[in-house]
Formats: sequence, C-alpha cells, structure tokens
Amino acid sequence: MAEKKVKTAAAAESGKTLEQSMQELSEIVAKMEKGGMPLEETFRLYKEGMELLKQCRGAIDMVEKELEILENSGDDDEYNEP
Amino acid sequence: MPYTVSQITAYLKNLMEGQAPLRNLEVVGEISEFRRSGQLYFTIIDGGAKLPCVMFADSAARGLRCSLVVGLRVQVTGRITVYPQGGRYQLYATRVEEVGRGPLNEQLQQLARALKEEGLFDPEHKKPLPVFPKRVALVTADNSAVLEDMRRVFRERNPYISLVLSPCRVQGKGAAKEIIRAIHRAERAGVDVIIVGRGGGSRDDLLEFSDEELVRTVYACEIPIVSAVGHEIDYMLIDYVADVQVQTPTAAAERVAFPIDEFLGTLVNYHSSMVTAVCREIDGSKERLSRLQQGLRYGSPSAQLTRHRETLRQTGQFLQRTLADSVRTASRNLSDAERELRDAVKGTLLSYRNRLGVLETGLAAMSPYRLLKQGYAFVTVDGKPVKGVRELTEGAVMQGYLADGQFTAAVLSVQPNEE
Repeated sequence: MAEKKVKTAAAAESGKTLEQSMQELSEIVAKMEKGGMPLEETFRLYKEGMELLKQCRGAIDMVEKELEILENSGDDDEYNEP
Repeated sequence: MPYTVSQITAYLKNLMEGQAPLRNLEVVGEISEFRRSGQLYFTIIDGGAKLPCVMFADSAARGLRCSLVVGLRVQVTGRITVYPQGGRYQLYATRVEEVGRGPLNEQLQQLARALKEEGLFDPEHKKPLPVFPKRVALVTADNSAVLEDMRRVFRERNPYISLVLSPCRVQGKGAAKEIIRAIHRAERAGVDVIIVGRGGGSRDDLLEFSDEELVRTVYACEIPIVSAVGHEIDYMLIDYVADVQVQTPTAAAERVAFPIDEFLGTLVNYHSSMVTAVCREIDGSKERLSRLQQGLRYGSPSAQLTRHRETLRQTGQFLQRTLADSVRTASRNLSDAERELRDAVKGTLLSYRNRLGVLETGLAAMSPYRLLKQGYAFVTVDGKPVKGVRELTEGAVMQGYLADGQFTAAVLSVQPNEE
C-alpha cells in the first residue's frame, strides 16, 4: 500500500478546504440574501458562489468505497517492543 | 430585532429550568476542582464536558456524603439552574456521594492526577473534529460487532467517506500496545479522524485503555482522535485525553460522519438562494431603471413643452371665454344703454310734442284768424292798422283783411259811437 503513505496533513488539508469553501459559500449566500449591494457586486458574488458550489460538489467523491485494511505487520513503526 | 442579554438569558433559564428531567436528576462525574466560600462550589467532569455545581451550606450539611477530593468520582443529585450573572448553567446540588469503585482505582487516580498536572487533559490541547472528513480510521478489532456497527452507520449516513481499518486487539493483557501500533498505522495512512472503538467488556479489559503509553500516544497524535471505548458508567484515561469522547462506537460514527444528503441539500439551498437573490436584484434594478426612465420622460424637454403648450392652450381658452363674456356683458350693457337712451329720447320728444300741441292749441285759440272767420276784418290804411273810425275819413282807401283774403275799399261814411 505504498500509495497510502500520504502525509496526514495533506488528507486533513483537503477536508479543511471543503470546510473553508462551505464557510465562504455560506457567507456569500448570507450577503446575497441580505441584499442592498450594487448590481455588479451581486453578480460578482454570484459568480464566486457558483464557483465555490461547483468546487464543493466536486469535493465529494461520490463513489462508495471499500473498507481498507491496514496490515497489522508491525514493521516500519517507531514503537519498540521490550 | 435583537434581544437584550437579560432577555435571552431569561429565556434560556426558563427553557432549561422548565424541563422536567432537569429539575431532579443525578449526574456522575469526576471532581476536577472545588472551593468553599460560603457555599460549596465544585466542578465535575468526564472526558467530554464539565458541569459546575453549587451546594448551599444547608444542603451540604444534609446531603454531602463524602469529602470532596480532586479525582474522586461522585454522583450528584440536584437540579439544573441557569445563573444569569455568571452566564452559565449549573447543577444546584442537594446530595453528593461517592460512586462505587470505578476503574479509576487508587493507582489510576494518582496517574490521572499526574497526567492532568502535565496538562495532558487540557481542553485547549484538544483538536476540533473536521466537519467534512474524507478518510476515517477505525481502530478496533477486525470482524467485531463494533466494526460492523460503525460501518453500518457510515454506510447509512455517508457512504462516500473512505473507511480504513487499523485492526488490533481491544481486550486482554497487552492490548494497549496493539492499540498504540494501530494508531500509528492510522496516522501514517493519512486520515482525517481516528476513532478508537470498543464494545462492552470486563473491568480488567478497560484498564488497557488507561495505559500511560497509550494516553501519551493519543495526546501526541496530530490527527483528532475520538474515544468510543466507554462503558456506560466507567471512564478510562483515554477518555480524558482524547479530543472527543463518546459513549458508544455508534455514537462516534454518527458524530464523525456528516450526512451526505444534508450536505447536498445544503448545496441545493445555497444554489437556489443565490439564484433568487440575483433575480431579486435584477428585478430591483429593472424597476429602478423603469422609474428612472419614467422620470426622464416626465422631465424631458418635449414633455415639458407639451405641458407648457397645454397650459398655454388652457390659458388661451380661459382668456377667450373671459373676453367673450366681457364683450357679451359690455354689448348687453350697450344695448341696455341704447334702449334707455332711445326711450328717454322718445319720452322727451313725446312730452315736447305734447307741449307743442298744447301751445299750438293755445296759439290757435288766440289766432286772429278765428276772429276773422267770425266776420271781423282787420283794416289798414296805408299799411297802418285802423284801430278806430275816427282814423277814417270819407273817401279814404283802406285795405281790409278777411280770413280767406284781403280787399281794397273806400270809406263812404263814418259814424262814431255816441258817448
């Protein structure tokens, strides 16, 4: 499972980016619902929002995954048996 | 419309204190601190939360059934209240007693205190769980009910989350070491969350989850760890050090797996909200534009000119009407005056004619011609009127006038009247 040696940070990163995107999107929607902006601003936010929406949709890999099992081999870890 | 602090607090107070279960309940937890200042203030905790408690002196006299010691597991009876000035809820205690001999026996309590001192249980150190994890590691026994329960929950809520099993023994002596290795494997596998799960078991099995090395491993792990090893009434040290502690593996899966349909539903709502907002803005702008256009049309030179022309026309009409009226009135006055004048003149003429008639009649009455018609004659000699016979001599030639003419005659004789 060589390809599984992904940096934990990277995995956490992709999840967080979705979180950030959703947060930004929620803020944009709130601003748009509030209104009172010039039309150009509304269009700009709409464009930005739609882009984020696309990103968020795409962030979920809509494929059911199989359970991965990590080998209980005990090699290349830092724990030393007494 | 915003609430005031007091309003919202009063609302919460009402809400909480009104809940029947919260008015009389027992809560089990470990004492983390206490102090006496008039009343007795202490806090009970478990791995996931803390609950401030207050016990008034009279309640304490009756209901305090043990000495308060940090680390002691107690059961507190009382009711939940909201303390507005402190901005918190608390357990107003009427009874405190030590609860059984939990797995935190004397040794463990010491260890717990020591680790707590080191700061391993600090809330500040705990990492938040990712809201949208992509990969989740399950640290538990392979082919176990726990594993199946968790897989089922993930399948139901969000089958698109990758699950990674890092299998290990979760009971029996030495399980702690395997759990530690399993956590390390999960760390290397690049996951977003690690769930350490375990179902029921004997008290001794639970001790493995209070292993110091395991606690330190969990503390040092950079990936958030959910501890789902709790029995209903027992806590292990892993529960205190974990980033999140839940009662059952199922609860852990529910906590970690964000429901995919909710997520997609939220995206749909965002989409329609944005579309609605844009359409609303466009409609608003259209309306503003139309109003501006109207304004422009109204204020345009041609519109103004039309309005002025209309005013002019109306004024002209008015003037004409007024003028016509004036003329009519004047001409009527003129005819009236004319008529009056004519009448007056006629009248005057008439009266003069009458007077003339009267004078004529008078004059005619005095006319010598009447006399002449009666047989009198007017006599002149040499043009001079003869007023008496004495003026006459025989043979004089006299002119005589009668009504219808004159004659010439000579006097034959004269006979004056006797005196």
